[in-house]
Amino acid sequence: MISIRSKLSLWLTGLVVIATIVALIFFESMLRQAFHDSIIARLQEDLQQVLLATHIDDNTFSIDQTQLSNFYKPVYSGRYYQLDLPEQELRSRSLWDQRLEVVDLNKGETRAWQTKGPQNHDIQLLSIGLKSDSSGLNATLTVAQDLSIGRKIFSEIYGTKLVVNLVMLIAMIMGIFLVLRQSFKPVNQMKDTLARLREGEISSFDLDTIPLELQPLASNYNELLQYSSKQIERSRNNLGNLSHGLKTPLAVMQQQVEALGLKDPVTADALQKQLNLVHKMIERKLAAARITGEMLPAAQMQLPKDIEDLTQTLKKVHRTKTINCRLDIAAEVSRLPMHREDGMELLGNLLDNAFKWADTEIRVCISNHNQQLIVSIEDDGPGVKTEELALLTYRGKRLDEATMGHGLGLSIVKDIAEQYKIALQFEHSQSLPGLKVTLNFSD
Amino acid sequence: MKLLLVEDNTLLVEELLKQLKQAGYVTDATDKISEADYLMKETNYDCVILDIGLPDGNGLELLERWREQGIHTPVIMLTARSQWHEKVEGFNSGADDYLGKPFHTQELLVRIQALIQRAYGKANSPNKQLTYAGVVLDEGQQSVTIGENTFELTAMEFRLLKIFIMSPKKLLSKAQLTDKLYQFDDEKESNVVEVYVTHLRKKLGKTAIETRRGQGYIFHGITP
Repeated sequence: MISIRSKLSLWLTGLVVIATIVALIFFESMLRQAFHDSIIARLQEDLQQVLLATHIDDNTFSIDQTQLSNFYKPVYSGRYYQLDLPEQELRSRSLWDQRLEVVDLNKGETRAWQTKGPQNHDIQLLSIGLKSDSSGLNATLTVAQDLSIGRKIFSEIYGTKLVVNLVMLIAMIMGIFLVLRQSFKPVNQMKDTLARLREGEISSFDLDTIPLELQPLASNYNELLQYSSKQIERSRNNLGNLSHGLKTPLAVMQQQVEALGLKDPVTADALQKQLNLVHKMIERKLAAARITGEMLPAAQMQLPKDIEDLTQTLKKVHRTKTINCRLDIAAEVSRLPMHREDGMELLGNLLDNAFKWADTEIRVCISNHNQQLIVSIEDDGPGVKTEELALLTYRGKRLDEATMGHGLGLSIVKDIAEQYKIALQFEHSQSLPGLKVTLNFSD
Repeated sequence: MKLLLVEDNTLLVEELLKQLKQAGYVTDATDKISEADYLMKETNYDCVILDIGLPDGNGLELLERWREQGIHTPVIMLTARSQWHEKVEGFNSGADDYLGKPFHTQELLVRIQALIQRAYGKANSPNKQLTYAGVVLDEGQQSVTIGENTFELTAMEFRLLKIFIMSPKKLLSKAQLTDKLYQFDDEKESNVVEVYVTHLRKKLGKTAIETRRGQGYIFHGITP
């Protein structure tokens, strides 16, 4: 779906453009009308003036030039008059050799029209029909005005208006974009906040920084987040309790089967196999079901504390060996983006494996280059044959699992890595003679 | 050697007591934190097998309390909580070893033995043999070998000799020895130590165990 911001930008811009065009058209017609009206008014004045200057003597019409304005004198001055009589025509000097095409009118009739006049300029004409009371002679008096000068002014005014309006239009469109960008800042901030929530950098929206309209959304999201993390924690605990609850009776059965083994080894062996199966299911499937996936920062694995605890524990578990376990953790990495218990299980199993196989040395390196969080564990044990490395990666199975306890360690490692989308890689260590396991946390 | 088993599943306790007895250990068992705490203060145990989830409290908290009070008896956690973060917690609370349920009895026995030997400053012997000054105690066979001769030992003899061989050249009082030979609630026979020292001397020779009248016994072994 198109974004609200683009929608608003488009609509507002469209509306402003349309409003400007309508305003310009309206203004143009108003201006044209006003211009026309003013010309007609002027011509009516002219008509009155010419009429006053017109005299009838013995059936002859004459116009007293002295009573008229000087505009009628220069040739093609732009103001003209013409008196049409049945046998004669009286024209202003300004008309010079031109005559106006006039329709004869009856007394009292008027006519206003436009046509081409001298010099091929547009002119506005106004005629009135006259009748001499004494002689009964009909006459038509016409005054005219050149429109070109007026039109020039009209164009100037209109042009200025157009420029002003266009500048305003551009300013308004820019304003719309600026205002929208400003108004949508909180939305973008929310987007960033969501990304940070996903990364586990923060645990909830800060409602104070969110605009009123979006607050219900944010608070709902917070509630949902809290609810789901509680739910996850609860099911995690329940699954944990289930697996613990199953293991104690299993331990009892294990003891009884061992006791039975002295009397009836065949039955005991069969039972033992079933017990192993149940145990494996608990360790593998229940453990897998408990893997949480992404988690709030408070529940994440803390570095270097948690890994130091792990290596201390492993040193106690493998007390008979003297192993130098070197931790090289980049200072800026303060946690692993996974639930602490899953992280401990993942690294615990891998480190346990390293401790089992290592001769004297283990190196753990945690680095964060170019947003790539990488954990590597190397040992100086016998290593794994090249052709077995691939199997290790694909099946999560060490071919010789004798040293792996119940042989579940790597399967659990694989389950956890899968859940967290961690790329797991087994290879020959470059710096030590043994195996190198690499965990890449960036997808 | 005397063990304390703190576990609330009665069937498991029953089975374990049998197995531990067979392995030559004297074991007191309880399912309560409070009782475990009391027994610990009354008796000198060689090793404790401790569960975490107990009806009246948390085994790890008890362990932490013990360690704070300066009780350093080896403790092996025997628990269904066997994930790594739980193991870390267990070791941080002061456990010496950690075994997840379900478990093989043999593994538990090996670990108990290793803990006890470490506590007594003995090297870990993989072939289940304890040796001191010409006396070789076979824990698997519960027999003693001197030179070419091997003697079977009764349960009581085995227990007593093991105590001696773990603490050679040390004066052990009669009360200390009696304490390790019996369970807490057992009726203790007053002359049991004398009787079994006499039995052992028949097999090891008179000079192997020296009597200090009114004080106790010192184990010397055979070759000086």
